[in-house]
Formats: sequence, C-alpha cells, structure tokens
Amino acid sequence: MIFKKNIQQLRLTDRELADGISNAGQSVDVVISESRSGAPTLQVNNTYIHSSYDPVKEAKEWLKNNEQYIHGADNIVVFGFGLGFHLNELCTSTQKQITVFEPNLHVLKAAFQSQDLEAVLSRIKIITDVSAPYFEDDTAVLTLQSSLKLTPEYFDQVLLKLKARDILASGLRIMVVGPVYGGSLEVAKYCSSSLINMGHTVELVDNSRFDDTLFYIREITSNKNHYDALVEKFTALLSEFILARCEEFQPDIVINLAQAPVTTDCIERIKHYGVKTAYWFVEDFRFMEYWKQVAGSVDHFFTIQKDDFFEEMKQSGLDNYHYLPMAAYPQVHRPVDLSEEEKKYYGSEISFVGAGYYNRKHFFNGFIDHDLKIWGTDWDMHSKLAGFIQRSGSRVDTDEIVRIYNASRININLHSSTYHKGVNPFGDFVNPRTFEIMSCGGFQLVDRRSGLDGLFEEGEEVVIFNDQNDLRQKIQHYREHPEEAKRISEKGRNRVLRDHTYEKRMQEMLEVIVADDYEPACWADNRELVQDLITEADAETEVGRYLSQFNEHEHIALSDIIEKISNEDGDLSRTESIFMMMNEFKG
Amino acid sequence: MNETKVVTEQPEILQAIKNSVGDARHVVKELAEVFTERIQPLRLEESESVFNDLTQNIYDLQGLMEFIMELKNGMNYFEGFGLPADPITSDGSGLALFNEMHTSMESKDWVMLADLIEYELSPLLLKEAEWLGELNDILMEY
Repeated sequence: MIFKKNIQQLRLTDRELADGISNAGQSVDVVISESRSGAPTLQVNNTYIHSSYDPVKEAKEWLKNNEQYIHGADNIVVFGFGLGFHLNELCTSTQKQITVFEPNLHVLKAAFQSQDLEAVLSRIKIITDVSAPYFEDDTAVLTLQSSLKLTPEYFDQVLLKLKARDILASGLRIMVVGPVYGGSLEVAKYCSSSLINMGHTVELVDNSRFDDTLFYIREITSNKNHYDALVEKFTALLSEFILARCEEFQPDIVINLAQAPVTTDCIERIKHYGVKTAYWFVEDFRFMEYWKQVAGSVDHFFTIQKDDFFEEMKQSGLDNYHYLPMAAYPQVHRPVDLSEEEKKYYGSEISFVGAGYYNRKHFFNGFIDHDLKIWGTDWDMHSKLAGFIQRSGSRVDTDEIVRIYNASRININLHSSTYHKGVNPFGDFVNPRTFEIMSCGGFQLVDRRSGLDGLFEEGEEVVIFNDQNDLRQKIQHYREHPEEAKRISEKGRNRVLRDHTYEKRMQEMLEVIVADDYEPACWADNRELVQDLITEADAETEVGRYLSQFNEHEHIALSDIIEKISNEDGDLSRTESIFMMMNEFKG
Repeated sequence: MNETKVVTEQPEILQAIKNSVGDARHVVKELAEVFTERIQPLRLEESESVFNDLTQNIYDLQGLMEFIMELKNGMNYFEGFGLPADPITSDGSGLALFNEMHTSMESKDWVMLADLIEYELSPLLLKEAEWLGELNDILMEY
C-alpha cells in the first residue's frame, strides 16, 4: 500500500524512474529490519545504512550537523537516499531545492516499501545516473556517508561533475579550431555558437578561408612527393597562424575539430601555456588513420565510435579517449513553415540527402518505383537514378537541406559505405543527419548502426531498417500510418532537444576536460577585474558606463573590448574611438 | 573471612587499590567522553582520521579492561567490599560488546559501530565509573 502510494507520487514528476523502481526486483543484499525504536532500518551487503537502534534520532543529528551548510546554500544536493529518514528531516527544515543522487534502484525500492515518502517525494528530485543538473547558485553537497561506500565511483563521478559545473559556470575562454574544408567545418561552427550560447568567450579559427590554397596545391602537381611536402608546409603554416591567434586570444581550452590543420608540435606549444587541448574526431577511424598521430598529443580525444576504436586506442597505449556522438543544432535544424511552392519543390514521398557513395548508388536503384528525390553531389548522372537526382547532383546548402527534411514525408538515412551494396552490417557511428532530421521534426528511416543503441529508443523515437526489403516494408507501413510516423517524429525531436544538441555535447566535453585536474592556463595575466576598472573610471562617467556592459565577465583585457567593438556595426562612439586608439598605440 | 580482618592483614593491597581507583574512575569517565565524541564523526565522515583515532581509543579501552581485571583480582582479597561485581566484567557483557565492536570494525560497518558506542559502550562506561565511585567511597572508610 505504502509502495503504491509512493510510486504514484513519484510518477507525477518522474515517470521513468517510477517505472524503474516498480520493475526493480528484490535484492538479497538489501535487507529491511526493525530497529530497536520500532522504525525500520536498512542493511546493504551486511552493512547498516541507518542506525539499528534509532534511525530517526540519527537523522535529526545528521540534520543538526549539516545545518550550517544548508543555511548558506541556495540548492542542496544529497548523496544517498537510504530509507529517506535524513531527507524527511531535511524537507521539514528547509524549502530549498533538493536533489538526491542514488544509483541503487533496490535501495530506492526498499525505501518506497517501508516508508511513507509522499511529503519527501513532492519536494525532491531523484537522480540515478550521472546527469548532474546545472545549478546556477550556491550548492551544498550533503552526504549520507553510509551510502557512499556502496558505490564510491558513482558518487566520485557526480562530485567531479558538480565541481566541473562550478568552474564552467564562471565562463571560460575557448578557442575552436576548424578544418580547411569538409563536414567538420559546419560542426566547428555549431560548437562555437553553442559555446557562446553557454556563456563562454569563444574564438573560432575559421581555416576555410584557406581552402582555395589547399585545392590549388592539388592542382599544382601530380607528383605525390611534391604534393605531400607542400601540404605538410601548408599545415605547418596554418599551425603557426593558430598558435599566433592562441597567444593573442589566450584561451583556457582549445578544441580542435577533425581535419583541423594542427601539427603535434603546435599542440605541444599550446599545452606549454597550460592550455587544455581537446580533439573531436568526427571521423570513421577505419578510414581516417591520422588519429594515430593526433590522439596522443592532446589532453582529451573525443570520438564518435567506441567499442572497436576504444580497443584499438587502448592497444596503442592511449587512455585519454571519450565517446561523444554527433548532434544537431536546433537553431538551424528546426521545423520551418514552407510555402506550397517550397513543399512541391523540396518535397517527395521519400528523399535522400547526401553524397553518392558506392552503397547508396546500388541501394537506391531498388526504390525507383517510388516518388523519390535524391539531393547531393557525386551521383552518376548516367545511371538509372539520374531522373531522381535533383539539380543534376549539385551541392545543397544547409538551409535547403532543412527544407528538404521538413518537406519529405519520409527521409531515408543510409550511412555511407565504400564497399557494401547496401547497409553496412558493421556500421557503428551515427551520422549527423540522424540527429538533424529529427531536430527538424522530419520523419526518418535510418539503417541499423550499433551506435544507435542508447541514443534513441527504437520504434518509439526512431525507426531502423536492416536492408532494402525491410525498408520497402517500412515505407509502405508508414505511408499507411502517417499519424504513427508523426508521433515518432515528435518523440524523436524531443529526444534530440533533450539529449543530443551541440550544447549538450560541448557541456559534456568541457566537463570531462575540467574534471581532469583543471587549472587555469598560465598566460601572463594582462586581464583586469571589470569592477576595478569601473571603479577607477567612476561608474557615472562615459567610460565607466561603457565598461559596465562587461559586468558579466569577471576579468577583461583591452583585446576583449576591441573584439566587441569590431563585431558591432555603426559609427564608433567617443569611448570606443579611445579604446581603438589605445589598441593602435599598444600595437 | 572477616572483611575488617582482611583489610588489616593486607594493607599494601588495600593501599594499591585505593591509589588506583581514583585514577581508574577518571580514565573511565574520560574514555566515555572520548567515545561519545567519536559517534557523530563516525556517522558523518567515516574518514581515515576518525578510524585512526578510534583505533587508539580502543587500544586505551583494552588497557582499561586489563586494569579492571587486576583490580578485580585485588578486590577478591576483600570479598569485593560487599559491592556487586563491576558492570564491564560481571556477566561477560563487556567482552561480548568488544567482540561486536571488533566485528563492526572489521566489516567497516561504521553505523553499527557508532550505535554500539552510543547505545552500549558509553552507558556501560558511565556505569563502570559509578561503580568505581561507590568503591572509592567505601575505601575512604578504611
């Protein structure tokens, strides 16, 4: 009876956890017994979690000993649920926001079975994984000490995450280094914009301005030795540019995207300043082997593949790798209202957007009896598919891709393969298109990839096909059940917005970096406290008022002011002119 | 045996008992206080330093136990001055408690250990101090 009541109460705020607790079996290691005071008490693995004499008195003492921390905080985090005696006392004593971390569903089940927790559950949020929420204000971390030793690694991980969030909350200076060309160019821009949205000061090193030069090198010689030597020198030059920008911008962290033109020497020199370096290898490690040069040189190496790749990196003696799948950027990948004309132009019953890889050329031959539109480059205009390839296989920009995803009744997403005739049975990473279609609210049928496990719930948020026949059947099914497709699209979009945005990825990446003994970079400190500068200038003066717009930053340098002025349109004010002049003299 | 006669015949033993009872009472009270202080750190911290401090206290407790046994032997000459046996050694409850504490320490069950200290050991030590007080009062008459 108590259990049902508690579960009903939890279901109001966290249905998933309520189901999890309901479905958790009984564990022989979790034992409830009666304490000498008559209240229940709990033993886990033969160790008492609460007093076997008087757990209520014990909880009151716990509260008394933690009062000073509770008093000074805006939010309270508690490690360990136990049977909830301490939480009951806590909820009675404060109205502050309370978050409880408890990974053991058996312990939660025991508590739900033995205690009336209705009042507690209406006040607290329970977290069972390491997805620590972000707290804007001061947070006190209180512990039910006896619970900690049951899963010490879990609580260590949560604690590191909470500490990392504290550091990140103050905003960091982050340099994002993009490639000269390629798919990760857009990713670099999304990362950079996301980091700005998250409150960090960001410099995007956009190397795409050098793409002409790189392509020109390709044209200049057919001799491989010459070509390799020129590319090496070109990369070294761009690395020097990056280093020069780095010294100007003075970042705390440098994030390199796949194909960024950074040499290992450049990375070493950046690290020399105490700057943390990361690399997001958004590539297939089986085809792009340059990870072997770069992975060991950066502090943290992020990948879109895990199992086999991790094994290979482990074999290579690396231990700095982390799984970080692709994502969507909802400000760009979003539902859009299309005109009738646009719906007609971009829409079709089934569509595919992407380059004409070997497997795709074969695979889509099986769908020429459908209302099919293929968008993208590198398709054979002399093949059976020619009539389906839009605009003769010319390039489609992001804005148009978003319209296609919105206009198509079914978006086919077939990951590329250069040696399979259809679905790659060993495919593991999940491409950006998977997230982007969903973020647009489009309906998608995607080929099976091991990496999809854990990212989306199959059949609820995403529909997966195994081969050509399976896809044909699924197309037929969803053609006949559009409302089902709509429901899945909505759920998929919600999941992307919740878990798979670039902001989420950047947060995760920064938390990993900062949790690893993070120390600020040791640049010669030429930044000053904004408040000091305002006081010095007098807050009521023109300069004081101008500087007050930097209040959200703790420290600034002249370069920050110049950067802001340079990014704005219109005539310079008198104060801005003075700062520009100061910058000239400094130069 | 006549008590008064024994007291007269064993003046050295009597003096030794007299000298040590006061000290023992003080030590027992002090230990009761120290153990009581350990209860909350045990429940709240479970840290290495709490563990080390506690180990030292338990070592001191063992010393006290040995002393009480000696005292008991000495008092046998005087038929215990008519007092009931001391609370710690009387019915083996002290020994059973120490064994339980030992088991809790070995299994790192700090909550159980804190319970044993709070609800068993501390009251027992206070009773022992009371008993030593009564003994001291009787000895003052000799």
